[in-house]
Amino acid sequence: MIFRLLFVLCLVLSIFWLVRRNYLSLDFAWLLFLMLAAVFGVSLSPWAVENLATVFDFGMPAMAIVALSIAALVGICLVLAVELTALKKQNALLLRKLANLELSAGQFRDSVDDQLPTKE
Amino acid sequence: MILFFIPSFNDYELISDLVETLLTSHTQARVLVVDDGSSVPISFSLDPSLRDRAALYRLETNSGLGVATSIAIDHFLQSSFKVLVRVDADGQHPVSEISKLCQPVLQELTDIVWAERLSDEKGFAGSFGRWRERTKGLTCWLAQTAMGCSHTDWFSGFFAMSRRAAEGFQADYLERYCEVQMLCLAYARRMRIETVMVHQIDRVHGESTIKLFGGFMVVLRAWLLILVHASARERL
Repeated sequence: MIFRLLFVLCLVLSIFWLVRRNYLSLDFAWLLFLMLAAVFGVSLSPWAVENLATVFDFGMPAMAIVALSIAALVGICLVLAVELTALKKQNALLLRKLANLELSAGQFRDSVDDQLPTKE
Repeated sequence: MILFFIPSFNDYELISDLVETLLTSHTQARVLVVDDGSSVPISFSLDPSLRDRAALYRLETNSGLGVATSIAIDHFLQSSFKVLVRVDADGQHPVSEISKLCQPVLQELTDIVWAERLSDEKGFAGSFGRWRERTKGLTCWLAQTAMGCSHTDWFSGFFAMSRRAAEGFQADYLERYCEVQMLCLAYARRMRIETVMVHQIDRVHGESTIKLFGGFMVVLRAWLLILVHASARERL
């Protein structure tokens, strides 16, 4: 139990740090929190783990292997979320640069003129 | 001297009147409307004498308020304006109260002036009624407890900022609904923040972009941001 709690605590603190440093967006952070809560909840019940293993036809693996697999999956999700956040940031940066260029070059003025009919 | 920034997503009924009112009541101001990927591109008509003081920039896809705000901040810093004021396109922010926001920034008394919304008849205005009030109250309590700041309207998008404050936000990646994020960053960076009470006008046209699930996510994001900044021990 202590190791489970330590694992969850470490992940929560990592997520906080990643959000604070802008490496992880808030939506992904909440999804990871939900995932952590679900994994922690399931891990409290060996019956639920056994049933899940049966449903997915995993046979009856040792609990240590299940725990390691879940930890690995959560870790992979965290890395993917960080990568996706980086992509979102890159996209936002490109949009900003494009807007900045268009606004500074005065190109927007033509499009505004096209779109802003003079009041009669 | 003043750059008005109006983010808009499918809110076009009042844009013409709003831009015209802003420009006629502030003779040294310019307006930047950012159309955040509205399904029908936003357009508006203006008096010929005002046309060179208004700009419209359209994002092809809905990228969120954070990107629109960052575009306005970049444009603000590239120009020689002294104050950046955000005004919502739905007409809920009273133009008559803008001077209350701008004056302290123009006099360099503060970096950011944040409006706290009041309505005489209905208390704090809002479409989700009591639940919205309770959520706001809980957010205030969390912010007070975790960060030690007594700000009472974390979700207001009516604010004015100085060039110093804008420089502080320029390098940040602002999220989709960025008001709480901006306030948290401003508190964490010890910017000078002043709050003023404004009487919010009830919405007449269109509908809020924040629905029930969206509102829930906005609140969750706000709480996470407050906890993150509190956990970094940047208490005030």
